[in-house]
Amino acid sequence: MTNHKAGLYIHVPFCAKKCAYCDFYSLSGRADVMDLYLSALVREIDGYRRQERIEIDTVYFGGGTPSPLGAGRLAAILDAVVEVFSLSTDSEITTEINPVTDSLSLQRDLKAAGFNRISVGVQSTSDAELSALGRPHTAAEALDALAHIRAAGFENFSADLMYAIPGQSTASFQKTLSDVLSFDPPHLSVYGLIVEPGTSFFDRRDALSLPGDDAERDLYDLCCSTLEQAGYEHYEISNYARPGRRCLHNLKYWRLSPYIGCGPAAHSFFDGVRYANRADLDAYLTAPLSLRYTEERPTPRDLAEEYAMLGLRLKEGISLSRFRRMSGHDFAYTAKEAERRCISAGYMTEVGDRLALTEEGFYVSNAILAELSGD
Amino acid sequence: MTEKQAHIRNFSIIAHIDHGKSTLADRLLEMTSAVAHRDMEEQLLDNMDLERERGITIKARAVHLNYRASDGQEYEFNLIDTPGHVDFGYEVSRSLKACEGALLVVDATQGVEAQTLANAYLAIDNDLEIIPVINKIDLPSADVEKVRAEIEDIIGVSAEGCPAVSAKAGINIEQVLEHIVTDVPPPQGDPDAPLKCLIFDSYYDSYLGVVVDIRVFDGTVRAGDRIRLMSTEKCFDVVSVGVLTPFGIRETESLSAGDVGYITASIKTVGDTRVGDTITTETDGADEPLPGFRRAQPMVYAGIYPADGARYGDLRDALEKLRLNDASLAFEPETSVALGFGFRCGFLGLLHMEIIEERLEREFNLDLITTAPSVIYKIVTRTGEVRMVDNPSSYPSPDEIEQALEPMVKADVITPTEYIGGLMDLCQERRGEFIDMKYIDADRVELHYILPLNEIIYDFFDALKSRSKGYASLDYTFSEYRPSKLVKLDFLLNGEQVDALSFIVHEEKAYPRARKIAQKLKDNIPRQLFEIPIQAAVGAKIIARETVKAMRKDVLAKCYGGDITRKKKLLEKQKEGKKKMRKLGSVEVSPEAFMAVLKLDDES
Repeated sequence: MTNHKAGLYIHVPFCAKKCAYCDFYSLSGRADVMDLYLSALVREIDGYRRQERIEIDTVYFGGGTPSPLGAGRLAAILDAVVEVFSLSTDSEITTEINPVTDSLSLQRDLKAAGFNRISVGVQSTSDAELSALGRPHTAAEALDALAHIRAAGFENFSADLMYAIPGQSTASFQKTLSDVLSFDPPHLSVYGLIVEPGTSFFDRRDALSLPGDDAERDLYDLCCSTLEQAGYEHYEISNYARPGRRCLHNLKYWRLSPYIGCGPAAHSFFDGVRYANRADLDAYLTAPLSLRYTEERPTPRDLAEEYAMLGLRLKEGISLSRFRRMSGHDFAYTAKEAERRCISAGYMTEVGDRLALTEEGFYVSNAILAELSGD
Repeated sequence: MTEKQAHIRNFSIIAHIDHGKSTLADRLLEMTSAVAHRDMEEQLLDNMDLERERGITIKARAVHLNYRASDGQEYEFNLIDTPGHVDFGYEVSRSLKACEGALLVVDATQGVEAQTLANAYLAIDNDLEIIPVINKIDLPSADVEKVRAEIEDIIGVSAEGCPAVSAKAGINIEQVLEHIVTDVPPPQGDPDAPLKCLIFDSYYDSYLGVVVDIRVFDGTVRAGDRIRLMSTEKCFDVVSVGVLTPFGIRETESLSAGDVGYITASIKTVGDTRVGDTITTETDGADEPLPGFRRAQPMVYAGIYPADGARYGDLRDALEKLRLNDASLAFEPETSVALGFGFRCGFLGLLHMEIIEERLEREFNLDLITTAPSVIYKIVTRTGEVRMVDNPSSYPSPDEIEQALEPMVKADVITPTEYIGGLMDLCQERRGEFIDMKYIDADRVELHYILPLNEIIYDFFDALKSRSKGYASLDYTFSEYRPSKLVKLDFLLNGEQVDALSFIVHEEKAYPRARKIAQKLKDNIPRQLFEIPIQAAVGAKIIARETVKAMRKDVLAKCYGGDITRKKKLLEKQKEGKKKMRKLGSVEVSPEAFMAVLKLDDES
């Protein structure tokens, strides 16, 4: 189950326009420095050159949005990656795209450059909701992007959708789901909107007509049942896939596998250390290796906790024996009564060595984790 | 009467709250002594911040002033400040006992209020000469003649030629001083008779120890004397005697009949110096104490717990410090299953309780959880035993009770006539028994009711204010214990009884209160992983129920590589938050939610 090959994440901190809910590191209006960014990124990647090359089997371009860089620069980055790392032949190579910078020719070029998976930020197929979110594209452009992906011949792709958007109704969410399902995407990521500090939504959160927890939960339940009927596996709290189409890169995060992040604000978990680059594009351009700082050197006990926190996000759950090996004790050994109640309430299942949350449990997983921590 | 006595004037200032007592005291101090205006702290007599903020005087104090009157002679004034709230009625009465006269301050815009009347009657009962002072004449809505007529009609003292002043603007203060000289009788008493001093206040000073404020009625007391407190028969050596001036303490050689001042002795705790007690000498002392002593008895009890259980020791220290200065504060340790270790505290009334809570929170930086206040019930058991119960948790089970009695008070409400209907409704709702109604004038009435004290402590005062737009005023005194149909109301969360939520209530009130509190619990207990049934019960019978539904959302929707360290911290914070929760049975409730449930906002 555990994959020792690393994943590689490339952070592209550019976007056409900052969305109202986005708290990722990205800047608009910096098209002038894209080439400088490219050479800085190549230098950072080059820093991972080893005698025995590091084996990777997933590459994921995220942001921001990688698509404004253009297929040429994205291809150049992939070339650098191939030169430095040992990239497995069956690797999953994904890039995110934003419909506003999408075109059929871009998709064809990405395919030609070696990308084999596209993740497109659709979010909604209601123009009113897209504009409430501050998205720079229309619903039609989003659906076009899905068509382009198909037309370019990508077999593996994902659409990002959102619910609990200000002004969203059950009917409009249902419409978004069915609009997107008509393209039969192999993978869907569906998130409840989170109003994060530091976003423009956060600053005006009291004026937004956000749904309450109950209404949000109803939308989540609707999503679960709709996608289940459509034949998707709900394999992570917010992720759904056709058989064999789970996102291998993201699974690395949840399964505690190693990953390397390049680009400003990218995070890594490699050689047992969690480290990251500061979010500072200008400094990155001149000295890409100077931004790195260590976040944490997790102890085995920390790792066990992370394993539980992340693994219980997955339908497959955690292996109790792996947890015991990591931590030196049984999972939730101080909260056996709480564990029993969670199971009898239908929040959790324990089958053989595996403990997992149910769909019911997914949406209250924070409370379950707090309950099971016991103290 | 000695020559010295002929030039002494002992007086108090009495008023309804906010009628300007403290401001008038300031002006008198300013005019009589060289307290420079700029040096004078506003409202000098009130020592505590809290008193100043609330505009009330908690502890009585005496101040010694010198005044050269228009007759050319020098007089010694002793101004004895009195607390203005009903909770401190007994202390007021002892302060008045130390005087020969009282300034009755009445607001020219408000007229006579419930406490004006209550205090005026107290003064009359103590045979004091009353000098009405009509204050706030600088305000546009002042109606001096109307108030003058009111004072004469309602209180029955002559207000002809009484001073009409503005203490704030310093108008006509001289007149007040002259009236004190001419109208307040000089003190009587024999300086050579056996010693008789009345204790009207005492407080703890970290340098001097216990300082006792006294009025000497007979005899003379000096440093070195061996004194005896007549209620306890305890003896002490006098260390010093003197007077409190606006500039601080001034030691004197002696205090004799007619004087007001302080003594310090080898007294360790204010608990030994009960207000109203008589001091005499150990040998050749007085045969009889001064009349009227009684111990100030707490009327209201509540459990006080630290919000953070680890601060139990701090809470105990803080209560002990407060008791140094406040002999009427009673407390003893108690344990609640829900709240852990805390104290059962007794107070003179609700205001006293609020003041103590605020001082604990402000001066000692404690976060508190306070249970619903309770009165003292008198329970006669089947075996004939009489139990005084101040804590619902020690209330006997119904089959043990032969008869239950609850304390009743005589309540006087003064209100503008337009609110009579609403206030009578209120008194009826609170199981009041109407006695009579007296018209003060065409616009105002005085309502007399007998009310159960447990209704008064259940937010009566706020309800009174809200139904009269703030115009009605209230005064009450204990009347008697009466048989009553009382029940103990319990609350269960997840089927487990939460002891801290129980209270005693009249049978008829049990259903509405049960429903209301169950509803509040539902509104204030955050949803948790599992559904929580809430039940209200009288004995084994469930009389109300609610349910806190299970939470439906508590999730980090998005969790990828970049955020893992941050997300982990978020979860850790959530676990930290859990630790601050109070366990009510198997249910976690934040201290804030607990307080919200107990908050007595019956009107809203």
